[in-house]
Amino acid sequence: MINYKKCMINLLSTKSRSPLLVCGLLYSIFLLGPKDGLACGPFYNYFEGYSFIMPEIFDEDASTAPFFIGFDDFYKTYKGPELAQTSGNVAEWTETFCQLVKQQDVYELIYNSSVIDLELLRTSIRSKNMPLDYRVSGNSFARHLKREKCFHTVDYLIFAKECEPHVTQPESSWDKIQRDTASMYKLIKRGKKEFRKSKSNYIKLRYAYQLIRLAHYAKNYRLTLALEDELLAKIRPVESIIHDWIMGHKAGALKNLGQKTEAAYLYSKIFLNCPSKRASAFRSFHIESDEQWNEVLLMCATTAEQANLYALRAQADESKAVEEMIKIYDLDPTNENLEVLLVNEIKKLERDLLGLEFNDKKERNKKLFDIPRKEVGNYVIKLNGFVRNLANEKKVSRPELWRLAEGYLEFLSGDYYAANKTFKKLGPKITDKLLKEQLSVFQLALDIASYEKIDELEEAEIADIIKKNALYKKYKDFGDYLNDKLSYDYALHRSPGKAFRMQYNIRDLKPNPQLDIINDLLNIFKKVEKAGEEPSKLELAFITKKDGTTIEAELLDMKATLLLSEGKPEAALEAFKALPRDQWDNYQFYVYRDSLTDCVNCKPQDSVEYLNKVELLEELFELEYKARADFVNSSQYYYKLGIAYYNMTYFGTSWKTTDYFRSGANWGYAKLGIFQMGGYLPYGNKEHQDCSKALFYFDKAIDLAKDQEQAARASFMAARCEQKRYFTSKDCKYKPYKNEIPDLPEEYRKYYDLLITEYDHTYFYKMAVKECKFFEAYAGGK
Amino acid sequence: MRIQTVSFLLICLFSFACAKKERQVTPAFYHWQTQLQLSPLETLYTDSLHIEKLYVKFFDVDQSDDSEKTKAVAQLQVSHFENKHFEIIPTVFITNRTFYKLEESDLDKLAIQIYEKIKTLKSGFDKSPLTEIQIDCDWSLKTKSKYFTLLRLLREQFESKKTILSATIRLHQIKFFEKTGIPPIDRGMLMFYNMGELSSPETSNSIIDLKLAELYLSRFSEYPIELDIALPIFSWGVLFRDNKMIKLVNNLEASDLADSSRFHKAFENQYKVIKSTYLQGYYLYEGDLIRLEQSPISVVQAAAKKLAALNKAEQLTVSLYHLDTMTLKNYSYDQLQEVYDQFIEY
Repeated sequence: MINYKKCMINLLSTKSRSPLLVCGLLYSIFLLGPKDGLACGPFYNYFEGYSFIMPEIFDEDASTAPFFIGFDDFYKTYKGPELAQTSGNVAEWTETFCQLVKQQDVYELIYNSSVIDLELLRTSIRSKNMPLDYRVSGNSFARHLKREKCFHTVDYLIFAKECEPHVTQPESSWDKIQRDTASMYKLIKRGKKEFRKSKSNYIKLRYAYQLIRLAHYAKNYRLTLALEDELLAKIRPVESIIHDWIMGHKAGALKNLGQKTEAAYLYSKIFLNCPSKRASAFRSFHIESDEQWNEVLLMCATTAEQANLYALRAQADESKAVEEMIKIYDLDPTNENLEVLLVNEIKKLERDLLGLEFNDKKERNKKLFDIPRKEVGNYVIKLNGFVRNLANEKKVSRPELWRLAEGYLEFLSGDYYAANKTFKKLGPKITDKLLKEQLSVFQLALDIASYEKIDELEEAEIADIIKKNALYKKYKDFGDYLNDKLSYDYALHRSPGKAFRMQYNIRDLKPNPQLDIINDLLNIFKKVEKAGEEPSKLELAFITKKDGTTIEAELLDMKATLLLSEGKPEAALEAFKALPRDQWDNYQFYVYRDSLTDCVNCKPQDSVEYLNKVELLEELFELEYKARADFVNSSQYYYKLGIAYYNMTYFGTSWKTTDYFRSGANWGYAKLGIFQMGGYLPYGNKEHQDCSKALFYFDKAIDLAKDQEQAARASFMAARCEQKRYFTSKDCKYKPYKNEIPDLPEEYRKYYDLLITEYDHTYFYKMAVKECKFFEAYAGGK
Repeated sequence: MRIQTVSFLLICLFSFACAKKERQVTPAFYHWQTQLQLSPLETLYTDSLHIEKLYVKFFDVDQSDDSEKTKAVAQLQVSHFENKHFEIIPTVFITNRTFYKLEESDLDKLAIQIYEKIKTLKSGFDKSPLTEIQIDCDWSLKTKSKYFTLLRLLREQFESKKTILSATIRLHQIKFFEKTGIPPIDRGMLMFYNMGELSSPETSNSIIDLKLAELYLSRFSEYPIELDIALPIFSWGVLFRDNKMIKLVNNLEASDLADSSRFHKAFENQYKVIKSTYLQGYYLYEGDLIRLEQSPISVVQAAAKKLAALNKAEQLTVSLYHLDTMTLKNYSYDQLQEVYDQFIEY
């Protein structure tokens, strides 16, 4: 939960500032958009951009809209052709029984009953005394069938159930298909008898469908057509979706018999008229040549049917639908598919062009999806020309929609001035509520894109948008859009800290702190403390954590830690000292663990004295001073400094003095210093693996050593620094986790050789050989 | 006299050492369509070329969103097929992405499913024993381990020890075999085609390019598994829209692009669409580019000669990809026979 009280206390005592506003800003800026790290495990690559076009903008009744528009949206609701057919079928049965039965009960009886269940139902209907089976006793459809003695309907349901294994795919593609042609022909024969017996035209139609379907699945295409001719002629007209289903089988048979033109025409009609078969008709619709296309056009009874053909063609992957839109407009200017295609094309262009300059995923989108498409600039100009014509000619259903699209396409093509002019001119003329909202959304997107340099005035404006603009909140893409835009602008105008905070949490910086970002954010505090200026609402959001406290201490600690890791202890001390004194003890370390083996997680003895970073650095300076002043003991002091600096690297127990995040996995492939960590950290993870400062002190300790034992000890530690230099070099093939003896090349063995040749008589040497396996191997090999 | 004798013996020895050997070559075809029903022309070619093996694609394995994680798609349908004299080799294409979602523990089940499906489909039209199963998968370094495990598990299913397991091998998998790995199979089938970068507009012919192939053949003799050879006899058009490859138009020929009112020949094998039009079921927009790629017989024969010299196997299957009426029309029997014959001597 956001702590409003703390917000009020901590936000730099600005009385006029609403705590709710600042916390809201924080929430809006940092919690919107998927900026946090991806979890491990399988994930799918998806395009990352924005969209501000409302799917509801076109005519809701447009029959093809759910199919065409936004395949992503479509597939969210579309459950596959089988389910579409099932729901259509259930709805029709329910309708046939005058809504006296529940749809769910119809579904249960038709799709979840076995032949035996249905036979029991039939027996119960024929019997005066036998009640309904307990499993269907509460089913309104079964009860209705019994009450009205509809055994012909049940006979049909049993027949349909028997046909099912031959005309449906097995549940799993690995299962054997149960189709048996001989049984299918027997069923056709039996079905014909039942067809003749049935007195209901509706049931006759359903029998006809089952028989035609059986013939189709038996691949007897001539029989399919013959049955369609023969049976439908014997049924009086009855309104039903079954006609379209039958047409689908007829089209399939025609296609297989080589009558592809007729088949294509039928598929286009099914596509237009039958939602439950729309997807399969779309897949089956196929035109081979220009001649065939022209023949199908000639078969169309109306210009609407012809326009529908063009709409179907426009749906192919990678289509350039403006060509089809021109044709549709010529044929039928008020055709509902025109608006649907327009929205579809705009959605594609949004992916190409919206925020192209500042989308922080643009390189990824290019690499993975080749977006923006090449030549998209020419295409948007062509589409906009067409859109402008339609808006001018006013023959379309809603000219204002086309004018709105014109403005948006101008915006997408980068002409902000023209877009703004079009929107402003259009504003007073729009009366439709949805279009009004769409215009406001486009205008907001344009306003955000139009910011050039973000100064205090703009920051205040943006803060108001985030906090108060209802559309900003309603359209989820605005959050990411604004973050990316501002981040881009801040980076362009040398505000790396603000740019970073538009996109990331401060903790994301810790694995590889960046001095320019830290300093830029610290400048906000300086502005307040030294110049007495008030930070803007946005700036306040940048420096405030969710709990209402500021990030100043973290920034100072990060700065000092970075400087220390870069070997600049004086600058690090200055930065640490800027921290409030009561926070110094938040960080406690012991850096003098002296051991023959590396152990990053080993705890020192309880008796050791921990130091905070200020104390630690001051002690290191003192050691340095003593090493220079006390010539007798200087080797010991240098050795101690070497130990401290070694332990503060990635390989030592006190690595937390110079780093916040250490990955053990990086040991094995520590080649470049910075590890991208799968891309979820903005600057990756930099491991502090540089032992050169420690080596410098160990070298001094060797030179100034007054006894052989001390020189041997310092040589061993210097050799370890050299060994780590090899492990992190580009040409190293050694894998530390394999527990093998590292084969050190000559140039990395200077100090081991020194120890072996000069100090092999020392007690330390013998102890090192005993304790350290690879040193034993090196010494043995000598 | 002595000198003459020695010379004669040396010549005999030299001739013996350089004499070309002959090997047993099994001529074969791939059948890659869903419907197994040979046309009269296809039957004529298989008869005339004495085809002994037909590698028939039985189905594809692809990833699935349901609980099974995999699905068998594009399953073979057989009607009016009478097998006269050749072995049917069930071939299964597995998409590389199939392995993305699979755990190692799923592979056992998949191996059983593949084997059972092959048996079921084959028994429907061919009662002869199962002599070989071939798996086609362009595995990657990420999927290598799971693919190889699947191959091992599949072989465990075989009921007869005489059944061999083969798999397709791509050119790059020969050159970099230490990295790409050696699949656990009895024989490999080197696919000597699809060697160029299809989606690049700069590529001239991605199907077969001998200069490019040379770069990959240097380590042919080092490959640890005996390799059969598959050579291309197909053509296609690579369709580019706005410089992006979007589609392949199968079996495309120069004659299909001869209509100058619709197509303009821009370069040797590149055509520009100058008027939006349908071409073999695809709608092309004005401005689209088509790169016509073919398998010229001279190049296929040269490839055969090259591979025959490199391949030292005493028994070899040479398979042409693929058996299709549209394709066969472009090649005479003699030309194809010559391709097979190239491999007899080595």
